Amino acid sequence: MPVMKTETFDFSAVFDSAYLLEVHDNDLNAIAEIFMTAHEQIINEIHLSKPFAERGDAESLRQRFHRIKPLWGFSGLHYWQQHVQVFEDFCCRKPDRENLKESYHRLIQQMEIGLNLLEMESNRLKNHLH
Amino acid sequence: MNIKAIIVEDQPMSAEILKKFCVRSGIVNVLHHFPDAVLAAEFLQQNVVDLVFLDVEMPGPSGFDLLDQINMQPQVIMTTAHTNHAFTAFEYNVCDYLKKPYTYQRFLDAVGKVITITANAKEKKKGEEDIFIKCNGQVIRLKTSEILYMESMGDYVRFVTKDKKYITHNSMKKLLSQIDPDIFCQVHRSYIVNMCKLNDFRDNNASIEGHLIPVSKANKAKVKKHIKVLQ
Repeated sequence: MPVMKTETFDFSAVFDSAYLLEVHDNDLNAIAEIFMTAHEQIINEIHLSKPFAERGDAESLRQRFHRIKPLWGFSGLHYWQQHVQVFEDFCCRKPDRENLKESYHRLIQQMEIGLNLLEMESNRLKNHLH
Repeated sequence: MNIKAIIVEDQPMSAEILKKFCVRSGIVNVLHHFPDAVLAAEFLQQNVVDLVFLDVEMPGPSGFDLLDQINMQPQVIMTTAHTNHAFTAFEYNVCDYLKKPYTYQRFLDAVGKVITITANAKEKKKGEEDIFIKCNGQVIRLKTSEILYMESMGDYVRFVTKDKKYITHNSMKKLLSQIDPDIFCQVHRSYIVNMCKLNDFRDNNASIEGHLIPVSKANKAKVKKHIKVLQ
Protein backbone atom coordinates (compact mmCIF):
# COMPACT_ATOMS: atom_id res chain seq x y z
CA MET A 1 0.00 0.00 0.00
CA PRO A 2 1.49 3.38 -1.00
CA VAL A 3 2.32 5.81 1.75
CA MET A 4 0.02 8.78 1.54
CA LYS A 5 1.70 12.15 1.40
CA THR A 6 -0.73 14.56 2.99
CA GLU A 7 1.38 17.71 3.14
CA THR A 8 0.09 20.73 1.25
CA PHE A 9 0.97 21.53 -2.30
CA ASP A 10 0.12 24.78 -4.08
CA PHE A 11 -1.57 23.73 -7.28
CA SER A 12 -1.53 26.18 -10.18
CA ALA A 13 -4.69 28.26 -10.19
CA VAL A 14 -5.92 26.72 -13.43
CA PHE A 15 -6.37 23.35 -11.68
CA ASP A 16 -9.40 22.74 -9.48
CA SER A 17 -7.35 21.77 -6.43
CA ALA A 18 -10.37 21.42 -4.12
CA TYR A 19 -11.85 18.86 -6.49
CA LEU A 20 -8.56 16.96 -6.87
CA LEU A 21 -7.96 16.75 -3.12
CA GLU A 22 -11.54 15.66 -2.42
CA VAL A 23 -11.53 12.95 -5.09
CA HIS A 24 -8.16 11.57 -4.05
CA ASP A 25 -8.63 11.92 -0.33
CA ASN A 26 -5.71 14.41 -0.12
CA ASP A 27 -3.36 11.80 -1.58
CA LEU A 28 -0.84 13.79 -3.64
CA ASN A 29 0.75 10.61 -4.98
CA ALA A 30 -2.58 9.55 -6.41
CA ILE A 31 -3.04 12.97 -8.01
CA ALA A 32 0.43 12.78 -9.57
CA GLU A 33 -0.49 9.40 -10.99
CA ILE A 34 -3.75 10.78 -12.43
CA PHE A 35 -1.87 13.63 -14.12
CA MET A 36 0.55 11.20 -15.75
CA THR A 37 -2.12 8.70 -16.81
CA ALA A 38 -4.41 11.41 -18.18
CA HIS A 39 -1.53 12.98 -20.12
CA GLU A 40 -0.59 9.64 -21.64
CA GLN A 41 -4.18 8.64 -22.50
CA ILE A 42 -5.08 12.01 -24.01
CA ILE A 43 -2.01 11.90 -26.31
CA ASN A 44 -2.94 8.38 -27.33
CA GLU A 45 -6.59 9.24 -28.02
CA ILE A 46 -5.61 12.33 -30.03
CA HIS A 47 -3.29 10.19 -32.12
CA LEU A 48 -6.14 7.74 -32.77
CA SER A 49 -8.49 10.57 -33.71
CA LYS A 50 -6.35 11.96 -36.56
CA PRO A 51 -7.52 9.59 -39.36
CA PHE A 52 -11.16 10.40 -38.56
CA ALA A 53 -10.46 14.12 -38.89
CA GLU A 54 -8.77 13.51 -42.23
CA ARG A 55 -11.73 11.49 -43.49
CA GLY A 56 -14.26 13.99 -42.13
CA ASP A 57 -15.89 11.27 -40.04
CA ALA A 58 -17.63 13.45 -37.45
CA GLU A 59 -19.34 10.63 -35.53
CA SER A 60 -16.15 8.58 -35.01
CA LEU A 61 -14.34 11.74 -34.03
CA ARG A 62 -17.07 12.59 -31.53
CA GLN A 63 -16.81 9.11 -30.00
CA ARG A 64 -13.02 9.46 -29.68
CA PHE A 65 -13.28 12.81 -27.95
CA HIS A 66 -16.06 11.54 -25.74
CA ARG A 67 -13.41 9.25 -24.25
CA ILE A 68 -10.96 12.13 -23.84
CA LYS A 69 -13.44 14.46 -22.16
CA PRO A 70 -13.55 12.99 -18.61
CA LEU A 71 -9.75 12.75 -18.53
CA TRP A 72 -9.58 16.54 -18.40
CA GLY A 73 -12.26 16.66 -15.75
CA PHE A 74 -10.63 14.05 -13.55
CA SER A 75 -7.37 16.03 -13.83
CA GLY A 76 -9.08 19.10 -12.45
CA LEU A 77 -9.02 20.94 -15.79
CA HIS A 78 -12.74 21.47 -16.24
CA TYR A 79 -12.30 24.25 -18.79
CA TRP A 80 -10.70 21.75 -21.21
CA GLN A 81 -13.51 19.30 -20.58
CA GLN A 82 -15.95 22.02 -21.66
CA HIS A 83 -13.90 22.61 -24.84
CA VAL A 84 -14.28 18.96 -25.74
CA GLN A 85 -18.00 19.09 -24.99
CA VAL A 86 -18.40 22.01 -27.41
CA PHE A 87 -16.54 20.03 -30.06
CA GLU A 88 -18.71 16.95 -29.43
CA ASP A 89 -21.83 19.07 -29.90
CA PHE A 90 -20.35 20.49 -33.09
CA CYS A 91 -19.72 16.95 -34.42
CA CYS A 92 -23.36 16.05 -33.70
CA ARG A 93 -24.41 18.75 -36.18
CA LYS A 94 -22.68 16.72 -38.95
CA PRO A 95 -20.41 19.50 -40.27
CA ASP A 96 -18.80 19.23 -43.71
CA ARG A 97 -15.26 17.92 -43.93
CA GLU A 98 -13.52 21.30 -44.17
CA ASN A 99 -15.41 22.78 -41.23
CA LEU A 100 -14.75 19.68 -39.21
CA LYS A 101 -11.02 19.73 -39.95
CA GLU A 102 -10.76 23.40 -39.08
CA SER A 103 -12.60 22.98 -35.82
CA TYR A 104 -10.57 19.86 -35.03
CA HIS A 105 -7.26 21.67 -35.50
CA ARG A 106 -8.42 24.53 -33.27
CA LEU A 107 -9.34 21.99 -30.63
CA ILE A 108 -6.00 20.21 -30.93
CA GLN A 109 -4.22 23.54 -30.32
CA GLN A 110 -6.27 23.96 -27.15
CA MET A 111 -5.55 20.37 -26.14
CA GLU A 112 -1.82 20.98 -26.56
CA ILE A 113 -1.98 23.94 -24.18
CA GLY A 114 -3.82 21.73 -21.68
CA LEU A 115 -1.33 18.91 -22.15
CA ASN A 116 1.57 21.29 -21.46
CA LEU A 117 -0.13 22.48 -18.29
CA LEU A 118 -0.73 18.90 -17.25
CA GLU A 119 2.89 17.94 -17.89
CA MET A 120 4.29 20.96 -16.05
CA GLU A 121 2.01 20.42 -13.06
CA SER A 122 2.81 16.73 -13.03
CA ASN A 123 6.57 17.49 -12.96
CA ARG A 124 6.16 20.14 -10.29
CA LEU A 125 4.16 17.75 -8.13
CA LYS A 126 6.65 14.91 -8.64
CA ASN A 127 9.50 17.20 -7.61
CA HIS A 128 7.55 18.22 -4.55
CA LEU A 129 6.97 14.61 -3.59
CA HIS A 130 10.56 13.48 -4.03
CA MET B 1 -24.52 -3.26 4.57
CA ASN B 2 -22.53 -4.71 1.72
CA ILE B 3 -23.56 -3.75 -1.80
CA LYS B 4 -22.46 -6.13 -4.55
CA ALA B 5 -21.74 -4.08 -7.64
CA ILE B 6 -20.30 -4.21 -11.12
CA ILE B 7 -18.83 -1.37 -13.17
CA VAL B 8 -19.60 -1.13 -16.87
CA GLU B 9 -17.24 1.51 -18.23
CA ASP B 10 -14.99 1.69 -21.28
CA GLN B 11 -12.85 4.58 -20.03
CA PRO B 12 -10.05 3.06 -17.87
CA MET B 13 -9.47 6.13 -15.70
CA SER B 14 -13.17 6.58 -14.98
CA ALA B 15 -13.37 2.93 -13.96
CA GLU B 16 -10.27 3.21 -11.74
CA ILE B 17 -11.57 6.26 -9.91
CA LEU B 18 -14.94 4.58 -9.41
CA LYS B 19 -13.24 1.45 -8.03
CA LYS B 20 -11.25 3.60 -5.60
CA PHE B 21 -14.41 5.33 -4.42
CA CYS B 22 -16.08 1.96 -3.84
CA VAL B 23 -13.15 0.71 -1.76
CA ARG B 24 -13.02 4.00 0.16
CA SER B 25 -16.74 3.79 0.97
CA GLY B 26 -16.32 0.43 2.70
CA ILE B 27 -19.88 -0.39 1.56
CA VAL B 28 -19.62 -1.17 -2.12
CA ASN B 29 -17.91 -4.38 -3.15
CA VAL B 30 -16.99 -4.34 -6.85
CA LEU B 31 -17.26 -7.87 -8.21
CA HIS B 32 -16.17 -7.06 -11.77
CA HIS B 33 -15.40 -4.30 -14.21
CA PHE B 34 -16.57 -4.70 -17.80
CA PRO B 35 -15.37 -2.44 -20.62
CA ASP B 36 -18.52 -3.00 -22.66
CA ALA B 37 -22.20 -3.85 -22.35
CA VAL B 38 -21.95 -7.25 -24.09
CA LEU B 39 -19.64 -8.75 -21.46
CA ALA B 40 -21.69 -7.18 -18.68
CA ALA B 41 -24.92 -8.67 -20.08
CA GLU B 42 -23.34 -12.15 -20.16
CA PHE B 43 -22.31 -11.77 -16.53
CA LEU B 44 -25.72 -10.49 -15.45
CA GLN B 45 -27.45 -13.45 -17.07
CA GLN B 46 -25.76 -15.73 -14.57
CA ASN B 47 -25.10 -13.54 -11.55
CA VAL B 48 -27.14 -11.37 -9.25
CA VAL B 49 -25.81 -7.99 -8.19
CA ASP B 50 -27.32 -5.19 -6.15
CA LEU B 51 -25.95 -2.31 -8.14
CA VAL B 52 -24.63 -1.52 -11.62
CA PHE B 53 -22.49 1.54 -12.27
CA LEU B 54 -23.27 2.05 -15.93
CA ASP B 55 -21.69 4.27 -18.53
CA VAL B 56 -23.96 5.28 -21.39
CA GLU B 57 -21.69 5.63 -24.41
CA MET B 58 -19.42 2.66 -24.97
CA PRO B 59 -18.14 0.82 -28.02
CA GLY B 60 -20.97 -1.44 -29.24
CA PRO B 61 -24.27 -1.49 -27.36
CA SER B 62 -24.94 1.47 -25.08
CA GLY B 63 -25.73 1.39 -21.38
CA PHE B 64 -29.42 1.74 -22.24
CA ASP B 65 -29.19 -1.27 -24.58
CA LEU B 66 -27.86 -3.25 -21.64
CA LEU B 67 -30.83 -2.19 -19.48
CA ASP B 68 -33.17 -3.33 -22.26
CA GLN B 69 -31.52 -6.75 -22.32
CA ILE B 70 -31.35 -7.77 -18.69
CA ASN B 71 -34.27 -9.39 -16.90
CA MET B 72 -33.15 -8.73 -13.35
CA GLN B 73 -33.68 -5.41 -11.65
CA PRO B 74 -30.48 -4.23 -9.96
CA GLN B 75 -30.22 -0.62 -8.87
CA VAL B 76 -28.46 1.44 -11.52
CA ILE B 77 -26.27 4.50 -11.17
CA MET B 78 -25.49 5.98 -14.56
CA THR B 79 -22.05 7.50 -14.98
CA THR B 80 -21.56 9.67 -18.01
CA ALA B 81 -19.76 12.76 -19.18
CA HIS B 82 -22.86 14.00 -20.98
CA THR B 83 -26.01 15.49 -19.45
CA ASN B 84 -28.00 14.81 -22.62
CA HIS B 85 -28.84 11.31 -21.46
CA ALA B 86 -30.29 12.37 -18.12
CA PHE B 87 -33.92 12.37 -19.27
CA THR B 88 -33.67 8.90 -20.84
CA ALA B 89 -31.86 7.66 -17.74
CA PHE B 90 -34.72 8.65 -15.48
CA GLU B 91 -37.21 7.07 -17.88
CA TYR B 92 -35.33 3.85 -17.16
CA ASN B 93 -35.94 4.54 -13.49
CA VAL B 94 -32.25 4.62 -12.63
CA CYS B 95 -31.34 5.42 -9.08
CA ASP B 96 -29.00 8.31 -9.84
CA TYR B 97 -27.02 9.95 -12.58
CA LEU B 98 -23.39 10.91 -11.99
CA LYS B 99 -21.90 13.38 -14.41
CA LYS B 100 -18.16 12.91 -14.86
CA PRO B 101 -16.10 14.17 -13.23
CA TYR B 102 -17.98 13.76 -9.97
CA THR B 103 -16.73 14.16 -6.43
CA TYR B 104 -16.49 11.46 -3.78
CA GLN B 105 -19.28 13.18 -1.85
CA ARG B 106 -21.53 13.06 -4.91
CA PHE B 107 -20.69 9.36 -5.29
CA LEU B 108 -21.61 8.78 -1.64
CA ASP B 109 -24.92 10.60 -2.11
CA ALA B 110 -25.74 8.30 -5.03
CA VAL B 111 -24.85 5.18 -3.05
CA GLY B 112 -26.92 6.54 -0.16
CA LYS B 113 -29.92 6.67 -2.49
CA VAL B 114 -29.36 3.04 -3.43
CA ILE B 115 -29.26 2.05 0.24
CA THR B 116 -32.48 3.93 1.00
CA ILE B 117 -34.33 2.52 -2.01
CA THR B 118 -33.17 -1.03 -1.24
CA ALA B 119 -34.17 -0.73 2.43
CA ASN B 120 -37.58 0.72 1.55
CA ALA B 121 -38.22 -2.00 -1.01
CA LYS B 122 -37.32 -4.63 1.57
CA GLU B 123 -39.66 -3.10 4.15
CA LYS B 124 -42.44 -2.79 1.61
CA LYS B 125 -41.95 -6.38 0.49
CA LYS B 126 -42.17 -7.57 4.09
CA GLY B 127 -45.67 -6.22 4.52
CA GLU B 128 -46.93 -7.03 1.07
CA GLU B 129 -45.84 -10.63 0.65
CA ASP B 130 -48.67 -13.04 0.09
CA ILE B 131 -48.94 -16.57 1.34
CA PHE B 132 -51.29 -19.28 0.17
CA ILE B 133 -53.12 -21.64 2.52
CA LYS B 134 -55.42 -24.57 1.91
CA CYS B 135 -58.75 -24.11 3.65
CA ASN B 136 -62.01 -25.99 3.06
CA GLY B 137 -60.73 -27.43 -0.20
CA GLN B 138 -59.75 -24.00 -1.50
CA VAL B 139 -56.39 -22.36 -1.90
CA ILE B 140 -56.68 -18.93 -0.34
CA ARG B 141 -54.31 -16.02 -0.74
CA LEU B 142 -53.56 -14.15 2.47
CA LYS B 143 -51.58 -10.96 2.68
CA THR B 144 -48.88 -11.18 5.32
CA SER B 145 -49.98 -7.80 6.59
CA GLU B 146 -53.53 -9.13 7.19
CA ILE B 147 -52.48 -11.97 9.49
CA LEU B 148 -52.61 -11.14 13.20
CA TYR B 149 -51.48 -14.47 14.55
CA MET B 150 -51.54 -18.22 14.01
CA GLU B 151 -52.73 -20.69 16.59
CA SER B 152 -51.92 -24.36 16.74
CA MET B 153 -54.89 -26.72 17.06
CA GLY B 154 -53.32 -30.18 17.08
CA ASP B 155 -52.87 -31.16 13.44
CA TYR B 156 -54.42 -27.89 12.34
CA VAL B 157 -53.44 -24.25 12.46
CA ARG B 158 -55.85 -21.35 12.71
CA PHE B 159 -54.89 -18.18 10.84
CA VAL B 160 -56.51 -15.16 12.44
CA THR B 161 -56.98 -11.93 10.49
CA LYS B 162 -58.89 -8.83 11.58
CA ASP B 163 -62.13 -10.02 9.94
CA LYS B 164 -61.79 -13.77 9.43
CA LYS B 165 -60.35 -17.01 10.73
CA TYR B 166 -59.03 -19.77 8.48
CA ILE B 167 -58.29 -23.30 9.60
CA THR B 168 -55.76 -25.27 7.65
CA HIS B 169 -54.09 -28.65 7.99
CA ASN B 170 -50.55 -27.79 9.05
CA SER B 171 -48.13 -27.92 11.96
CA MET B 172 -46.38 -25.09 13.80
CA LYS B 173 -42.99 -26.63 13.08
CA LYS B 174 -43.63 -26.79 9.34
CA LEU B 175 -45.15 -23.33 9.33
CA LEU B 176 -42.15 -21.79 11.05
CA SER B 177 -39.88 -23.00 8.27
CA GLN B 178 -42.15 -21.41 5.64
CA ILE B 179 -42.86 -17.94 6.99
CA ASP B 180 -40.69 -14.83 7.19
CA PRO B 181 -38.86 -14.86 10.56
CA ASP B 182 -38.39 -11.09 10.35
CA ILE B 183 -42.16 -10.65 10.62
CA PHE B 184 -43.46 -13.67 12.49
CA CYS B 185 -42.31 -14.83 15.89
CA GLN B 186 -43.30 -17.89 17.89
CA VAL B 187 -44.29 -16.51 21.28
CA HIS B 188 -45.71 -19.71 22.70
CA ARG B 189 -45.78 -23.39 21.83
CA SER B 190 -49.18 -22.80 20.24
CA TYR B 191 -48.88 -19.26 18.92
CA ILE B 192 -47.00 -17.43 16.18
CA VAL B 193 -47.70 -13.72 16.01
CA ASN B 194 -47.22 -11.05 13.38
CA MET B 195 -44.79 -8.71 15.15
CA CYS B 196 -45.88 -5.80 12.95
CA LYS B 197 -49.29 -6.06 14.66
CA LEU B 198 -48.05 -6.16 18.24
CA ASN B 199 -49.68 -3.38 20.29
CA ASP B 200 -48.13 -4.09 23.66
CA PHE B 201 -46.27 -6.75 25.51
CA ARG B 202 -46.53 -7.08 29.26
CA ASP B 203 -46.14 -9.80 31.86
CA ASN B 204 -46.80 -13.00 29.98
CA ASN B 205 -49.07 -11.67 27.28
CA ALA B 206 -48.84 -9.94 23.94
CA SER B 207 -51.71 -7.78 22.84
CA ILE B 208 -52.51 -7.85 19.12
CA GLU B 209 -55.42 -5.72 17.99
CA GLY B 210 -57.57 -6.70 20.95
CA HIS B 211 -56.45 -10.35 21.12
CA LEU B 212 -54.44 -11.38 24.18
CA ILE B 213 -51.82 -13.98 23.23
CA PRO B 214 -49.85 -15.89 25.88
CA VAL B 215 -46.06 -15.52 25.78
CA SER B 216 -44.14 -18.38 27.30
CA LYS B 217 -41.06 -17.80 29.47
CA ALA B 218 -38.94 -19.67 26.93
CA ASN B 219 -39.97 -17.31 24.13
CA LYS B 220 -39.83 -14.00 26.00
CA ALA B 221 -36.24 -13.28 24.97
CA LYS B 222 -37.09 -13.97 21.34
CA VAL B 223 -39.96 -11.47 21.46
CA LYS B 224 -37.75 -8.84 23.09
CA LYS B 225 -35.21 -9.31 20.32
CA HIS B 226 -37.88 -8.43 17.76
CA ILE B 227 -38.87 -5.15 19.36
CA LYS B 228 -36.82 -2.04 19.85
CA VAL B 229 -37.61 -0.33 23.14
CA LEU B 230 -36.61 3.33 23.42
CA GLN B 231 -35.37 4.20 26.90
